[in-house]
Amino acid sequence: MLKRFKQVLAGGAILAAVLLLAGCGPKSEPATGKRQVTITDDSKATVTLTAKPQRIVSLSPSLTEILFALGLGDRVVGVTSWDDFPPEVKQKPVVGDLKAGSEAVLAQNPDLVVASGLNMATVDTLRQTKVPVLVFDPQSMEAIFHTIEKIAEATGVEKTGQDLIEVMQRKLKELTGSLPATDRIPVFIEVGWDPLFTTGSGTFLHDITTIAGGLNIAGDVTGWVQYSSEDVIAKNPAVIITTTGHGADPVTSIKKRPGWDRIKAVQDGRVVVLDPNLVYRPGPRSVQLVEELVRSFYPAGSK
Amino acid sequence: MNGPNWLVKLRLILPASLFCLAVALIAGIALGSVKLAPVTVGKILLTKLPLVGDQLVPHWPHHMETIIWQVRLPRVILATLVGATLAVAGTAFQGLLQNPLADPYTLGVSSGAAAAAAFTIVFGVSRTGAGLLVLPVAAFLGGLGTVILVYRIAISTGRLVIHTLILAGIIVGSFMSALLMFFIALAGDGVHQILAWLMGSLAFRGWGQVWMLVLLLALGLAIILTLSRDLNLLVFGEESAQQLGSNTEHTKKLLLLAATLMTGGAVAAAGTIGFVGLVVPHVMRLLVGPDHRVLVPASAIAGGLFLVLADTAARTVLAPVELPVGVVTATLGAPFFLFILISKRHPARS
Repeated sequence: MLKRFKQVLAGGAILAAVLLLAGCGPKSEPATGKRQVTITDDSKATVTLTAKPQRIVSLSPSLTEILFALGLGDRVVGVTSWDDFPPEVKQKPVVGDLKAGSEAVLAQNPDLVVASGLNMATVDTLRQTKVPVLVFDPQSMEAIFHTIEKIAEATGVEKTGQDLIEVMQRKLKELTGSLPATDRIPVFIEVGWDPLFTTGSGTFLHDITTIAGGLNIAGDVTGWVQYSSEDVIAKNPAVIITTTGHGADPVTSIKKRPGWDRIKAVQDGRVVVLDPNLVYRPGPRSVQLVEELVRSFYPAGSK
Repeated sequence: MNGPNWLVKLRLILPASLFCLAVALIAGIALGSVKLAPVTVGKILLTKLPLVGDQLVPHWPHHMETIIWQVRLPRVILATLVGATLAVAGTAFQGLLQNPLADPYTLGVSSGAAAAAAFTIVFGVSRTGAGLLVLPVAAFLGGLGTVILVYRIAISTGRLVIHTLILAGIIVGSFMSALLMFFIALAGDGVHQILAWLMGSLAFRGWGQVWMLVLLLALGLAIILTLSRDLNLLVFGEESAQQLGSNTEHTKKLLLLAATLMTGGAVAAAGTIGFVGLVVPHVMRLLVGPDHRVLVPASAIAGGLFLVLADTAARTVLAPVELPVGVVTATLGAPFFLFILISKRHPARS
């Protein structure tokens, strides 16, 4: 009980540190200045920036969260209609949904565009116009650190980036340091129902589950796949994690599926419904996701 | 011998094809992504029999029974019904439209149903409790509504002209496909769900689904079998059919109604599974001949058989990953059809 209290306390302190860092980032480092950096992004493109970008458009809510955590909120001049974190993002001009058109982006006169792999059509058009575009698609905790590092480098806030990564790593160590090395909790990760979809190895959710001490029962396959219902029954996971979406109530749906009432997770009521915004946005808040998962895999008192 | 020629043929073909279907059903229950020994599967099936069942002592993990009774059995039943329904509807449409390229979806049932289904997905109707019924009901009404519209357009010239009917079906179908694309463009992360539905899925959603199909299949079969002699005449062209005393307008309307209801039900239950309704009637026509009194029941059984096999393949080929069943019906169906076509044509020519 006391240990749990300490964890919460430490978590709060770390969060405060992140916010503090985010707040003073731009002040501690000069915002302008001559320099030249060359960045290779996840689309294997090499982008050279000659000045620190001052007008940044983000086409991915996950990257927007990274920009704000790096204290670059003031320099963001365009986001997508899906962006809702941090709350200040609501004041930013919207350049479109996840399939933002290039015209709306160009209208903001950006000197840097960051995008995810979902936006490749727009990215290709923008690159024709010589606007620097960086594409990042982090699919693991390590890749999130890498993305933060690269974006910090591109925007000239390397120090803030390093500090943010250190804070996240410290918190992760605290959360997962005492987890058992063997006998990990078998987990089924549901990413879609009707048909049933799960995620195998090589994805962000798999990595996060593994970090939080879970054992993905679909770890033998790769990527997002339509999965066999009877395999879930046979592998009998102790926890099922799923997300809300499209007005569905996943817990009721899971209980009613033929044969699923035999699954340990369903019998023990251990179906964990996660906030889709946390699940589908690899970024600074992913540590919070790990915390939620650790809490549901190893509830206080179990060990 | 006893009875007319077609009846003799039917007496031969029915037991043979039912036997094949039974074998396929057993294979569909025995095979799956979780490997179960055939002997165990047999024993699990026998436990439900009176007398014999009591003699068997379960020595298998409990989840095996769950998988057999609650996952695989309902699924093969659903596959049989959907396959049979689509194949019979396809046979009727090919005869009615006097067109070998016709299938259950020619008059726009699938695109109308798909547009309606996509609409419910995009506008996020709850998928629990009564909400679970929204998508199938919408799909059914969307398919039915499209054909009613097509029928209205075709009949506006006074008489139901087949060529007008096909043309109207294709035009209205294109319009519905455009609507579907529009909803997909709006769908955001619902895109995945829409695509999955379009590719078809036999995931069991409850016995209601099964009873609806049983009802529609029985009704459709009754109507189409009653009209099977008129269908035979229609194939020779409407004029000859009329000369031979068939009330063709009446026949065409009834056939259209029956085949559309069946297709709508199959699509509502399992999405737009392609190829079954096109290929099974052709294969069966090559195997048992063009007489609809034999062809319709033979197609029903063969359609069920084909979809059970296709779905079993979809569940096992990449296990534990499942393939969309629509992918398998076409990849299995196309080569099989070509094989039958070539092997049947060849001796006829030489």
